[in-house]
Amino acid sequence: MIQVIDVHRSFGTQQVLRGVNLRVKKGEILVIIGRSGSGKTVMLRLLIGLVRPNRGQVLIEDTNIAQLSGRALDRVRERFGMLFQGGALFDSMSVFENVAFPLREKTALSEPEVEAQVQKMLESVGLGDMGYKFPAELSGGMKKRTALARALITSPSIVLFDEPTTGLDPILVHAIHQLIKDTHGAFGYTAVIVSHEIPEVFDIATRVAVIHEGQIIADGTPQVIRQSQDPFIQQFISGSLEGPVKPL
Amino acid sequence: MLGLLESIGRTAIEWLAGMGRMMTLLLTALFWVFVPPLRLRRVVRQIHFMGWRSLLVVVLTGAFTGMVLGLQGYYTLRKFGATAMLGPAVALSLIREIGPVLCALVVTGRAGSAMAAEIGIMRITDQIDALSVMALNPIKYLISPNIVAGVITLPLLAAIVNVVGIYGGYLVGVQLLGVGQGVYFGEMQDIVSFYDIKIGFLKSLSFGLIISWICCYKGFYTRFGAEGVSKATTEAVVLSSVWILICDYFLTSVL
Repeated sequence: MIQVIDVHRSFGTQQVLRGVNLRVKKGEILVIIGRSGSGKTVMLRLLIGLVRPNRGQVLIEDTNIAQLSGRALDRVRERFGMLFQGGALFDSMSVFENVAFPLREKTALSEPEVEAQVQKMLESVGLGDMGYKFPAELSGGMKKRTALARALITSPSIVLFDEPTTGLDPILVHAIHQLIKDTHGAFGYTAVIVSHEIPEVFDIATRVAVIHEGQIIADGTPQVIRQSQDPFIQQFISGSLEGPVKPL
Repeated sequence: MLGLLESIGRTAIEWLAGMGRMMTLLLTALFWVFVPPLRLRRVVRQIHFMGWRSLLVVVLTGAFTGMVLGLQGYYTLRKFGATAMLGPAVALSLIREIGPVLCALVVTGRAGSAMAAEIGIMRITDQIDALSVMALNPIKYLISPNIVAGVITLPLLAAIVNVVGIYGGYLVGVQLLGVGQGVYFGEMQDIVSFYDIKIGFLKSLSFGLIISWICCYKGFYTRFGAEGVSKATTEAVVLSSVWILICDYFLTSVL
């Protein structure tokens, strides 16, 4: 469904991605893990055309998104949903309006239909009675759930999650992971998740890709990654100070 | 020496790139104004924000400016025995020059800064990227309505400043200093022409465009967190104010 072929990307003199190759199959949950600053978020932004590669291809079902712009790019993006790290909720809108926004802007649904769909979606993320609140009045977990509801409201076939659990307590981390699992089961989307939540995120992953120094160094089932003998992967998963990476 | 040349070259290239980005943003935003759907609700919201919520401060500015013009004008004209010209002096100063400029500077400080800060915060919190991800053009959604609102609002506010200022001058000149009411308004009617009003209108139209363009540009290209928003807001106000004054000079000399 998604194919990243030999993608290079740099910002100024900093080379972030150095020939990344990755394949995401339809309906799977691919989790990308890696150190801070390793290019995970850039990878996610490449997939949706927010960042363009300096070299290489990003294919979304045979369409190279890296070469698209304007309406052609918008048509591809309409199949995506994205949950941003901070939620990216519109401050001037209530929870309800945030979730209703894509429907009101991108569909021809009548207002009663929009209201019914939004209410149903809010209930599915446990925010059925919070529609009137504004983002500034929400806790971190509520913001993430609202952002998830907004990302899913148009029934996208691909959903990108940029660190969906950062800054949440362990119980909420599990709750959000469970929510992703449940909504994935219900809506059947393809998910790409960038996360630091190790090992918890392995519970929801179909496949895990490890990015290090701008390249995918391992790609396999959670089980395969856990059992990898690569010293960097071992150190990263265990969070150990001993290993090839010197943290400070 | 080479380092100095490099530094000058880099600064020049950055400046040119910035000017290019700014012009591209304006042309793109103007293009989207004419492509349906028109974001009328956002335009009205921005007119309310820029216009209605600036009204009190604009009225106060107009009133006191008119009163000062009345006072200064009266004592200056009295030296030449021409106090009958007070009405036209106040009206022409306001309509051709002070009304549009003061109004634009007040709106820049009150609404332009808020516009830059709002869009800047949207940028650093990924809200603008969220619009792109939803396949909505952020320039069409955010900037074009602001430009339309600026172009509509400024002439209206300038008209209000002019009227309030003329009555401020009347209060001082006629009620306090004894210029005849008929003389004040009669001379004004004879001397102020439609052409003067047209000049003021064109100026405020241009200032409306400058404010919304520069403030949106600064907000749209905000970087580096809260400090970036603060910098963008300050730069938006300073740059808009300077451009308003520069543009005022050139419009005055051309029109």
